[in-house]
Amino acid sequence: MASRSRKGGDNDSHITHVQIDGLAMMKIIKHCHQDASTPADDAQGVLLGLIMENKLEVTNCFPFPRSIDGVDDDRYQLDMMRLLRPVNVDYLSVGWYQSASSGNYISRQLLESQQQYQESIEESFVIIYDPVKTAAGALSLKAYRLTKQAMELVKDKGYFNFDMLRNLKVGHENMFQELKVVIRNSHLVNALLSELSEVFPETLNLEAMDLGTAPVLQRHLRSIMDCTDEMSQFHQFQKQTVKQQLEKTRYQQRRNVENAARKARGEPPLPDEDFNFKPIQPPRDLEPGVIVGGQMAIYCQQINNFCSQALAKLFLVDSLHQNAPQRPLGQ
Amino acid sequence: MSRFFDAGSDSDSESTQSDEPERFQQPKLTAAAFAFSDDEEETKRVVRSAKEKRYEELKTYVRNIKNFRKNRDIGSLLTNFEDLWKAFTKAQTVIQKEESGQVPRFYVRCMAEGEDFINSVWEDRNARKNLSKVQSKSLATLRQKLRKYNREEKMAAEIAKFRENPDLPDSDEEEKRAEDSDASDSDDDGASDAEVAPSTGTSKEPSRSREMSKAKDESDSDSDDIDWGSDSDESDYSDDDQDQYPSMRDYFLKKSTDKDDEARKRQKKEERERQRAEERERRRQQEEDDEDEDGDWEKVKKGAPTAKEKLKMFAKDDEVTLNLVNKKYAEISAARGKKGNDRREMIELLHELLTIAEQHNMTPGMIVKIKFGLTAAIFDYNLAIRYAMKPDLWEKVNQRVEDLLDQLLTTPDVIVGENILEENESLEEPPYRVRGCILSVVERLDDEFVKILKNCDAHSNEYFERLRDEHRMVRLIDKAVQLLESRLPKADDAVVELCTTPHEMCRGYLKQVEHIYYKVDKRIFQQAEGEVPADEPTSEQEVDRRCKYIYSNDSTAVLRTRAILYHIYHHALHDHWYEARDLMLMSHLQTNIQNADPVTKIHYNRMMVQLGLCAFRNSQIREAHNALLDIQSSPRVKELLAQGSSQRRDDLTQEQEELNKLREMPYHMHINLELLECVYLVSAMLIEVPYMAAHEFDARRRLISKSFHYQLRNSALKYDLLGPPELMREHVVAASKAMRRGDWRACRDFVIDKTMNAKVWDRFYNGDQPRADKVRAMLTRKIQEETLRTYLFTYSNVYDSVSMVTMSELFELSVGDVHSIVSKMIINAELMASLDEPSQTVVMHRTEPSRLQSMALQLADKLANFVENNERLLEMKQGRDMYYGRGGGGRGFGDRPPFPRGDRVGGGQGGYGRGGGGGGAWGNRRDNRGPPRDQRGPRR
Repeated sequence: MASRSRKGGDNDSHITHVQIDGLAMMKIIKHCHQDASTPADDAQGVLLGLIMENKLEVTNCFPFPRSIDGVDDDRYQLDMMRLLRPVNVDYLSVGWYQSASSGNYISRQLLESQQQYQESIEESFVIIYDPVKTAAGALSLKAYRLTKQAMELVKDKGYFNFDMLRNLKVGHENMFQELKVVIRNSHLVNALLSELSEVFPETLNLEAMDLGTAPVLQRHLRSIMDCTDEMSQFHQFQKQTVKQQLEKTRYQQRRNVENAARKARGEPPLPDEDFNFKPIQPPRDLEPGVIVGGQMAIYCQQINNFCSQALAKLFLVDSLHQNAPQRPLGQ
Repeated sequence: MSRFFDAGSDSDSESTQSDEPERFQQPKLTAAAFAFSDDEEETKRVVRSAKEKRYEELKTYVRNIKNFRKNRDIGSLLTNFEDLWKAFTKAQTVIQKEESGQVPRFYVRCMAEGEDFINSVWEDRNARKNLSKVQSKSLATLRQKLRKYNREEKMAAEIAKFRENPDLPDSDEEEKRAEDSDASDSDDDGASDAEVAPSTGTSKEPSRSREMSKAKDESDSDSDDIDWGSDSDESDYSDDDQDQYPSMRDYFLKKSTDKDDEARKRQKKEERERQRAEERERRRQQEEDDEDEDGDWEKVKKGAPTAKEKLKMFAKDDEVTLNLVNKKYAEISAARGKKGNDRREMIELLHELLTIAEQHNMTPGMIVKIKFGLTAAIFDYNLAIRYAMKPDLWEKVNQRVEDLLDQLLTTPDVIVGENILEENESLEEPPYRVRGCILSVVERLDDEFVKILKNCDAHSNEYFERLRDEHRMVRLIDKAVQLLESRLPKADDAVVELCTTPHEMCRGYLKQVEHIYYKVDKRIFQQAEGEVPADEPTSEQEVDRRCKYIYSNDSTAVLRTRAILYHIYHHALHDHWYEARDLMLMSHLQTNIQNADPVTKIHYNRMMVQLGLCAFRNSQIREAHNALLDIQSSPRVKELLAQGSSQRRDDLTQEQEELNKLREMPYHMHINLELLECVYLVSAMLIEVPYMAAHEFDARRRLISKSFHYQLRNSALKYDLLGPPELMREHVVAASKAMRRGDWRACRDFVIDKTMNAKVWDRFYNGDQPRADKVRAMLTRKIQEETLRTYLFTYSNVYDSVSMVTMSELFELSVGDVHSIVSKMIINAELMASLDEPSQTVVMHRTEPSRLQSMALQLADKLANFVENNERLLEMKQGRDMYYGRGGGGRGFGDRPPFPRGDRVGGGQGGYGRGGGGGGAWGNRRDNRGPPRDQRGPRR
């Protein structure tokens, strides 16, 4: 991976926004739509570009291949970048992109790979593209990078534990730092577009006016429900832990009392450490606190957004209905 | 060589051990000797021929086998045998080359002895029982394999040869050795392997002898007399060794010096031959001796019961008096149960005694007594309880018992009782008192009868033949009961203890009921239909009368419980659903059946199942389902009903298995399992499918029947492409799917078609078609109704209003029926609708939550749960000690259910709309199941 020595500016506010080229964006969209036929896992790719003071410019990108046997991903990346260099493409990797339908992108994998990126390239970020939303008429591109605390948290690979969470003061709200995304076209492209607009007159884009709210909401609800279930599992674990803790203290107290009695009688105290409490196996993903929570927050936010938009649309339609000439039923 | 055998036979004469084990040891020694010779000759011998290598391999295995045989490690024995065979096939080429296809003697010996050993183990039932499952399995395999192997032509011949004189094994080898050396001699170039062969042979000798003495010790320590036995052996050896030495030295000499001197060798060979002949002679003698000894032994054994001669004598010269006969009887019966007692002889003796007694006109008391003894003796003939009697023997006892009963019935002055002590018996004058229990005899006979039935193949003619005897058994029981009844205590009877006790009476009646209860009496049905006059006695009255007697007179709970179970079964069998159910409910059997013995539990299960079937026939679908649920949800239906075991279970020991076998029902009492499962699945379908339709969107849907769902899921998972159903289960699954679509005709056609008729429905009422047709009609009707309900649940959101007339046409129900079904649904708040009488339509109220709404409700429910749990967790963390045992109060959780158990959407509403004044229009109707909102503890 192309790692560079950076001048020591490791504060988070160094980069304020991401500027993405129209071409790169189109490539991302294309790739994601092509891959949408296989919903099993998400389309991913590398973003190429350069860093300009406080903005990151994405000028090109290429997709990761679907993992085929015998193709080494890293090697593929390096080869690709080396090959792009002679054709005058920016060859510095600045981050990566991923498609994620209806916002279910926060996962451990995402955290870990982003952490790796950020480890090697300080400024790197991830772009999340939502094909479903885009299909509904609103282009959805989001750029994220991990905050310093989150970096700390993910660093040592193991399960998150509560002490870490507490010490680092990480919650789902301060895991990610969202960056503003600016889409920029070169003047040449703009010129082309304006010329094209004359050749092809603009068609009416009605996708954004889709009134079918139920399926989207249902999907979101289902996802939230799944998250809740996960949270419940986590809850169960917490409960058990607390119970065990309780048991432990009781045991200890009893032991102390007993030891005091023995001391009074002049006998040696009982050994202290033979607790036979085996630690309760934490649920496989101990991330609910942060990851699932973050995921749920995103869902909620999306539902809120969606609802406000949908409501607006409904009001619009309502007023249209009222203004429409009254026709008797049945005609 | 000879030493060993001499010694072996010596020890035989010393201890009672047969020469069998000695022989076992023999080949092992050779094998060991081989190994030893290796060590000794290490320096001299460099080249090992292919033959040797192979042989060594074989011998290692043989030795192992020997060891394992000693340890009785059957599993390792099996693997070793297999290895040995493999090794032998490998060695085949060598053998072919070196010995012109002559199979090595030690190998043959190993095979032969292996077979002997396996057979002996196989025969030894007791030991076999103690073997673990794996062991006994490998024993069986090994036995089979070994047999097969030894039956092979070549092997069989070898073994036969071996068996002819099994005791000269090494002579064979020596011969071979001699041949080898001959060959080497004729080979003038003196090939290395030929040179080696004799050398090993000779070197073998001393080491072998040493080995032998060692093994001798071992074998002696096996026998009881360790000390002096081994001592004497030792001395024997030393003598023998001295004897042998010259020849031994000859060997060495030959090897080291005159290798080419044929003459000397021939001489030597002759000498050896002679020795061998002598040896053989001696051994033969020894064997003969042994045989003689054995013969003596047997004689002694047989000598134990010598009553036969005495009895005959007694008949001749003495005048036969009652006392004498009684004494004789006591004498004979004293031998009963003793070891070494010839049971057959005892029967004969008693028989003879009986004829004598009859000839001499003994008192009925005496005769009855002898007859009792005779039946007991015949019963004793078969020692192992789990094996069935031979049918002809049973026949014999049957006659005897009948005879006895007849006599007892005709001579009322003979009193038989368990409680009469031996010394209180009076045989001389009436009233005669004889100790004995006719009831137990009859019960035993019945048990044997059942065992015989179970012992034969249920599908064979033999079974029918045996089953034909049942009426005789029943007659016998009837007679016994008659006898008991005739001796019931009357009011004026002085000696109450000699009369039939109520307990005995109960036992008698129960035996009778046992033979009636599972049989269908057609007259009962006909009576219900008025074809047969109501006053005709049927089996029902019989069962009823007897059971009632037992209810009122039984003091032990066991008999009463059984009687109740039989009674219910009988009722259920004859479609007396309400009687059966009431009896069931009144008896409170469900509560304490857990503590009953296994056999009673089995009867309980049978009763339950029969009750379920009865409920189904009486269109009580829900009851049928409930009755069958417990049985059908277990994978071991067969075991629960004692109708064989469903699969091989390795976790059971052999004994448990035997026990299960013992409890099994005879085939003619079996309940058809497929019928059972089908009835269960169909009832589950009739209940579950409408339920599923009504609660399609519920978060926590209750499963009414797990196994039904399992079938549904299974069919969905198993096949990508669903063909027409073939199995019964597939039929039901297909029917369920049709029902969900609301297609009652398809559903009916799936449930009732040719295959299903043949498999299931025709089996009701023992194939009585008109009655089975009634069940089918009932079923069709149920399907129509439930499909209508399903249809309304599923599609009500599509309709604004439905005409009842249309529905009645769709479902071929009368408008009245539709009306009643819809009304019921409305009243039960399952369907949000109202009836519009004038237009005969059902007007739907749009209160069904939409999909989205129901999902939102679910989520709300979940979140409410979550919040509540969270609160509780917090509570736990904050006030640890206060968590437990704090009731009441503003924040008490104790009075709250652990979870807001809203298994319906509306239930969750309670949790969600806290203080919000109700949970929306759609939630109202389903609040009946959820916990009432105001009963919950107040929240903070």
